[in-house]
Amino acid sequence: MKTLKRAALITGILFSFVIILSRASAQNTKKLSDAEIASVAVVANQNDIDFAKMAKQKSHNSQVLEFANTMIADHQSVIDMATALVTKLKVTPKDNAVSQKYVADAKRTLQMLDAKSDKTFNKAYVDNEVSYHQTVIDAVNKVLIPQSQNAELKALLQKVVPILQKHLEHAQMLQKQIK
Amino acid sequence: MKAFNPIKNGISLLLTVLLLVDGCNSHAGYTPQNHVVEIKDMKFQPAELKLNQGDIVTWINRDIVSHDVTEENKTWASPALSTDATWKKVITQSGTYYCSIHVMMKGTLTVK
Repeated sequence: MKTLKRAALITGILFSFVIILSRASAQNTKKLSDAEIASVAVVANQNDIDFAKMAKQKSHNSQVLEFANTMIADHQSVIDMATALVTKLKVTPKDNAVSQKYVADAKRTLQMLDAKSDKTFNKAYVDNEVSYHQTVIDAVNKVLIPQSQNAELKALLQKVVPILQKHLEHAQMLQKQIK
Repeated sequence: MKAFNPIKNGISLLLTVLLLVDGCNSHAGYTPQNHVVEIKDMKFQPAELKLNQGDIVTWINRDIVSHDVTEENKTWASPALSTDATWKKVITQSGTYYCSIHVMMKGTLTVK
């Protein structure tokens, strides 16, 4: 009898676990609206501006400083274009689970970078730039472009991919030079 | 002291004049061509351009971010070009150039 009760309990726990997992998965695969995609795009660009601003405060490496200036200028251009487009389309960027995750991750990254010493900052910043751009390129190609409904929003996202790709190549070049 | 030879000196003068006229004609006979390099999708397009000495190249920025055109040894450089801005230069010699804002972007000019 005890064995039966234990089996029923374990089955119940497993069943609950499966339901929780499937709900979480459904949340992750939920399609984003154009307003939510706009929010993710703005947050993803703003994060990299924030990383670059920290680099300008902490780095003394001219190549890193030039790269950080490019990140600030380029990502601000993308934000300006996205803002102009959503204004024209009368869409208000809407906060969502994906943009919230980007904000939370960036907060942790900024704390990590801030804790680095002068000697270790450059490598940590450049390593993060490589992984961050890889993550964002993946998200733009696999989530934001396929899920965007408005043709102009989709076109803007498609224009951003080569910019991110060139940033990634630049960061990878720096990564080879900075040990 | 050498004696003045009018025939010899006359021939020399004639040859000099002919050479000068020929040189002027061949320079004046060539009309410089215009070439366009689009800066699009973070690339110089075309990235390799063959042209004649004296040809004019115009670069047009079609991207949403600023670019520039800088000779590899920085002997010449454009200002930063915002979206749809253009910059032109008469090309006198072969060389390689890049965008100093996005250093992975490169192009070459080959004078035939």
